[in-house]
Order: sequence, then C-alpha cells, then structure tokens
Amino acid sequence: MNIKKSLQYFLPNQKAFHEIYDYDVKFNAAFHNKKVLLRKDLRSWEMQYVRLFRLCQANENRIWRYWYRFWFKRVCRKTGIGMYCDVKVGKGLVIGHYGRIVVNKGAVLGNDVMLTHNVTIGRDVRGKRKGSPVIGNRVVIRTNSTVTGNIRIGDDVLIAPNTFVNFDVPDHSIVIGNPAVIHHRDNATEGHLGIVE
Amino acid sequence: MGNFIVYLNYIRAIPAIAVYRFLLDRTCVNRDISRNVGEKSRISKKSWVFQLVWLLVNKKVFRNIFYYRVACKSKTAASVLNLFFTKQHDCEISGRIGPGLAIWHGYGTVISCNEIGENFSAWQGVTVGRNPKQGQKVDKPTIGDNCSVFTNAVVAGNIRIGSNVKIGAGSVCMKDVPDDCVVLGNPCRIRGNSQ
Repeated sequence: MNIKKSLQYFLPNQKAFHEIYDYDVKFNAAFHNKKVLLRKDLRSWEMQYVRLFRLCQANENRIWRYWYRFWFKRVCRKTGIGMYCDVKVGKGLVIGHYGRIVVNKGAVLGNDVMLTHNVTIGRDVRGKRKGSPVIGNRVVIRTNSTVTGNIRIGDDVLIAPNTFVNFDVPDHSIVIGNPAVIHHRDNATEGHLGIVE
Repeated sequence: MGNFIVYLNYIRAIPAIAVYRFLLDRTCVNRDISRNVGEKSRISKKSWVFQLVWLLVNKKVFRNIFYYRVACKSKTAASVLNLFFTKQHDCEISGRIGPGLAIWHGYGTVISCNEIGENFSAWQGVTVGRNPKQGQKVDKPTIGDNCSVFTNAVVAGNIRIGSNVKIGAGSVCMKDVPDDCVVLGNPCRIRGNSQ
C-alpha cells in the first residue's frame, strides 16, 4: 500500500482536474452562446488561465505542482490577473476580459462566478469588517467594481459596473450606483450567464 | 541618443513600414500618428515613417491601434507584425472606428463598439462594451465625433452618444446623450455645454 501511495506522488492527478475543468469548458461555451468551444477559443488567454488554475489546484500534493506553477505564473504575468492558485473557487469560472484583476487569497468564491477586467476582491485590514469576502453561487461582478471586507454575498447577485460593496447582499438582488443601492429582482443574472444542461 | 535607437529599430520595423506604405490607407493612419505623437512634440517635425517607428518603439499601446488598422485589411498581416513588436496584452479594440484614435496608458482598456466617429480618445480602465438584453440585435454603443472618455468610465448598451461629448472619470453611462454635453457620476447625470 505504501508503495502505491508513494508512486502517486510522482504522477499528475488527471482525474481531479477533469472533474472540474470539463464543467468549466461547458459553462464557458454556454456563456458565449456556442455548443462547443473551438481550439482557437481554448487557446485564448482567458481559457489558458482557467486551465492552469485548475491544474495547479488538482496537483497540490503532487510533485508536478512545481511544473504547473511555473507556467501558471507566466500566464498571470502576461494577463495581469493577480489571483493565485490558493483561492477557493467552486466549479464554473468565467473570465470575461483579462487585465488588472486582483483577488485576495482569503476570499471564497462559489459555483458559476463571472469576473471581468479591473475587478478587485480585497480584504479589510481593520475595523469591524476585518477579513475577506465570501461570495455565493451564480454571481456576476462587472468591470471596475470593488468588493471588500468580511461580508457575505448571496446567490444570484449582479454587481453593476463601478460599484463599491462593503456590506452584506441578500439573494436575488442587483447592486447599483455610488453609494451603492440594493434592488430586489427575480432572475437577476438572466442573460449574463449561460445555463449548462 | 533617443533618435539613434529609433534608427537602429528601422531593421526590426521593415515589415511594419512595408505594410504602412503599400497596404494601408495612409491618410487615416497619419491622423492616428499625429494625435498620438502630439502637435507640440519635436518628433512631429520629422517624417511620417520616423514618427511611426518612434511610436512602435516607445508607446506600446500604439501597437494595438496600428494592428487594429492592419487587421481591417488582412488579419494574417497583423499576426505577422505581432511577432516583431508584441502588442500590449490587456488592451482590446474592435468595431468600426474613424481616423484619429488615441489611447493613453491603456491598461485594462476594452473598446468594442458599433460605430465611433473621428478623433476619439480614451484613457486607462475604460470600457466601451455591450449590455446584454433579450430581443436586441445591436447591444453596443454608437458614438459621434470629437468625444473623450476619461479613466475607469463605462459606456455600455444600445445607446447613441452625440458629438463633442466628454464622459467624466468613474462614471457609468447607459442612456442616450445629446451633443455638446458633459456626463458625470454614477448613476450618470448630464450637464450642459462642454465648451
């Protein structure tokens, strides 16, 4: 038994990788209103980032982590995405455009999350909201918006462009404006995110 | 010394100069060059080819603008030129844009429009994009002449913006705007004359 476990240390963990990444590809295809992603789309910088992000997380306890982290850091440098592979992300991640995305390593993202360019998800260093945010399922964060502090964002939430959020947001709502205002809306993310059948 | 480095880069820029000379509409690209160099600069007294190479070497965002003009004629030429001078990764331009396009700093800038007039200028973090709604074929903005969009502003949706409009820093513009106006704030308010 010990020999088998020690052999696993030297092999890449393809099974854990494909469980999550296959769903990512389907979700990205649904986002772009396509049935299948072409090879050209899979080689874009956005999908390369998602692929290496999942590979790094799947091979966390294997020796291959050094190989994948090397290429992952290169993609981070090219695209300007400051989200390292120790962030907890559920299955289904869409990156709309890349450039100047910053995510703190204490943050937790749910399933089916969309990030766009110039988004910041950061921590608060002091005060009553000290910590970093927890984000639910089916959340869309549009350009230039900032989410900070130890807060909880519910399911099915749309954060509009150029908003600053440092308070709790309930389920099924839209956050708009500066200072931000919460509006209740059923099907808040309808049309922004695709649905995988 | 600065001029000497530009003359050294003439060898690297031979494909770019050939494309500029034989493939492109030169009156359109010359207006891009003269806006990006600036009229007061000492470089503006030199020849057009020198100004082109000076911009390709010194201003990385101009490569995105130049390759966008090339890609209107042929996409293969743009991808070949990308081997010699690699473009800035986080700046994307698409749509029909008139002559005299200028982008300053260009980090995290995305411009995908329906139509934009001449002498458009954008700063870093600007997004001109789509706002998805059901039952609409066109979901991108149409912008007139002599407009400028300042840092981190967002212009989105199927809207029509007039000419001589200034959109202020950090504002979100999602409704129609008449001519000669200033747009400020989030959600946006429209103020009077921009002159």
